[in-house]
Amino acid sequence: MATPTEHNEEEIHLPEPSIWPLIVALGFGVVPVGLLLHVYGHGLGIGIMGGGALIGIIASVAWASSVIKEKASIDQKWGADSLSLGWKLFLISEAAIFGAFFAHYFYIWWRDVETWPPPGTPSIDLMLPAIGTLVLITSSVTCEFAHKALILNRREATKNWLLLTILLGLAFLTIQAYEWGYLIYSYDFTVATNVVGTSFYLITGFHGLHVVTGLLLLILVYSRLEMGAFDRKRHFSMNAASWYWHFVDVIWLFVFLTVYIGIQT
Amino acid sequence: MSIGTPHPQKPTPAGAGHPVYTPTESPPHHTTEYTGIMRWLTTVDHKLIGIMYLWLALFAAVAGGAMAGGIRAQLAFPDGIGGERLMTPEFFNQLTAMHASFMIFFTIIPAFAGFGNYLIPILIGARDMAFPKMNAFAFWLLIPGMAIMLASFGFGASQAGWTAYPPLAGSQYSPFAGMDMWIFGVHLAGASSILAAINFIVTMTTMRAPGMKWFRMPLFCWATLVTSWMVLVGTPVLAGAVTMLLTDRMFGTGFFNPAQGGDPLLYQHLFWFYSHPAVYIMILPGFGIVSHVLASFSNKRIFGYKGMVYATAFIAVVGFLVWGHHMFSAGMEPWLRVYFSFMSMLVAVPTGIKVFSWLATIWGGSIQFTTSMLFALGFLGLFTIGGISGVFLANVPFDIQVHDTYFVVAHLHYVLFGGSAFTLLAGTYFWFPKMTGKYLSERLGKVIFWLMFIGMNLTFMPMHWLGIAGMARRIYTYREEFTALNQFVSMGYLLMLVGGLLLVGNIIYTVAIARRTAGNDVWGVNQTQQTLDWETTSPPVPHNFDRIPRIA
Repeated sequence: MATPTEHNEEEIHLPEPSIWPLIVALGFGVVPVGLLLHVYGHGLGIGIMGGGALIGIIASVAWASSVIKEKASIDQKWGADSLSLGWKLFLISEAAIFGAFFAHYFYIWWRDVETWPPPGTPSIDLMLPAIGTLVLITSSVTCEFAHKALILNRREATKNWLLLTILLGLAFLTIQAYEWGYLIYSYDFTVATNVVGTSFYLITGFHGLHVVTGLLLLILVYSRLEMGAFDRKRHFSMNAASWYWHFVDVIWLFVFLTVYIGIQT
Repeated sequence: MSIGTPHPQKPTPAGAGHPVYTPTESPPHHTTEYTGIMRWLTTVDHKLIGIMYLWLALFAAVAGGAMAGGIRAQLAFPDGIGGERLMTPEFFNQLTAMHASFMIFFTIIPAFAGFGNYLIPILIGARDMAFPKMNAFAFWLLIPGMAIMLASFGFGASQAGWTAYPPLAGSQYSPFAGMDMWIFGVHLAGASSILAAINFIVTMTTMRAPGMKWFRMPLFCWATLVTSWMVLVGTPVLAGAVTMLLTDRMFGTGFFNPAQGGDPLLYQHLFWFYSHPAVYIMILPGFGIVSHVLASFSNKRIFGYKGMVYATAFIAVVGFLVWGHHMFSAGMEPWLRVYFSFMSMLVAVPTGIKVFSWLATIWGGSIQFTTSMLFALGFLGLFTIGGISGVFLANVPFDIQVHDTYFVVAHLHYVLFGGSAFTLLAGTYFWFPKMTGKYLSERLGKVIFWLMFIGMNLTFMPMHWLGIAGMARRIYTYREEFTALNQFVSMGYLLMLVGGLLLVGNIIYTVAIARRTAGNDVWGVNQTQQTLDWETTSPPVPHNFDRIPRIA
């Protein structure tokens, strides 16, 4: 565990008040209202959902940039410790959500092991997902190269490796989307087909959502690099984005080994 | 001095002889200052956020208490008054579901988050939480969460209890939007809890004052730390479970639908994997609070400080391994029943360590019967009763007999009302002067305590008998022979209602009108307790301490 670090006793830095946390909370809080209106057949639903999300996203960006500005003006030595610990804890809680979905899947598998997989499940060709796995693992490696390049202060190389990572991530998403479309249209295999379909789409879909988030983080890091942020020691956003990306990668390995290969056996 | 390892050491200011806090002529200013309502809406100060959490919890307690009133009214007159029904059975079901949801997700959990927010940075000698803006965000998430849940009454609120088991909570039997709104309310409250938990863990790991070693942290900090870990690992699983329920309802997925190969029992497993630890999430911070209160008003150090810390952690670990005892009657392998039964009884061991340490703390102390102390002592007795009926329930044969009866209702209210709520009241009377500089009326406080204590026992003790005699919970009516006892129970509710209204009135009056009279050491207990909350002004300045204290 980290030891408490020295506070600077002479200076008292209190964070600036900010309206953004409230706006973000209210913006995203409106999203479920819109979703409900939509599902229960109200015309305004989609609009309200989109509006809430838009407000939430804009306010998040405003919040992030205010934090970046504020942090740039003070010594944030102890702040970096806190941030990295906080980010790791966040990833633990993310893993726990995946844990719930996997627990469901494993339980069903264990219960139905005699007749596995349940009727209606197509035999999924492993070639495409295997390529996707390879692409995602490669992107994890290139992401690490970007991180190392930044530590060596080679900013151009960092940007190039990051760009490659982002492209590989997009390639993965494309493969995933193609596969979904293929399964849905050729085999009529949907969330409602059977419980394996449910697990398959919810787990891969939830993972895909994390890939999208990871890509957004990488793009954020890339654009901050463009703007001249970070040096070889201070680049928490880079660390955070790369941990997140590795996390997404590890989860995918789990998905591939248990869901894809598991459905076949 | 007791035998226990002394907990926090005397803080020694850097310049010897000076108090840690010295009022400065010019406190630090922000470049932007807000006043009035904007000061609250934009604040990132852990103290203001903590106070907002507490107001929200008080509001939810009044709302949830009113729902309890509806439940008790119906059960006092199940056939109505003069042939006129008080409410429809459906509305009664909504009241039971929403009473529990409000009390759990919007009263007890946010109230402890409020105390944690206010006190943790002060008790560890920090100026704020690690992530002040995220802290504000975590609080604000509760507003849409509570609004959605409250608004669900207009759209067919959940009738599936706070547990929302499918198929009852599925689209076939709960076709109304209110059920979905309940799920979103839980999502938002859960997200708020997770963010707050991350913040607490990071704050206590990286921001302790120099010399504040792990084992010098006061017990309330330890309790919050352990609780935060439980929230971090458990709450996401609840979020996952209710998300599956939501997709089953909205998009026809088959997680819990047997027709598609799903399994409704699995929801119960996932739900209780969080919701049993949630029981400890709702009581461990309270354990922390009474540890402060009992030691302070016994004029002694807490007995067995380290044992208390380990017992808290042990409860948390075992708490994750006992969820199946909620499902004994739901169908389970016999060996699993034996396992869950044994593990559940095991929880009594660390809990016993804590109860006996508290008894040893007050043993031989010079006790001051303040209102706060009365609530803490009341907690000790009531929680022990709830703990013992918990051991009954851990026995499979007994549990199957009383499953879903009022015995369970009695048990859970002894631990959640006699336990959690009494610790919250003890904490309120204890730290209110620190937060506001004003004392709540002690004379009225004692009246409130006795109303609550007597009312609580009149309400919940007879429920044990009702349960053993076979009265089912969550049903708007019952067999005729239960009428007299039920009306007696509802009278008990009235006593608690009077106590609750007096308390709310007293809090509002004190905040609005009373004068500030509290000094730094509000109760004159710092000599023995030596915790940092008594080293700063009441209320503390925005930056808590002019100099970060050094703990020697």
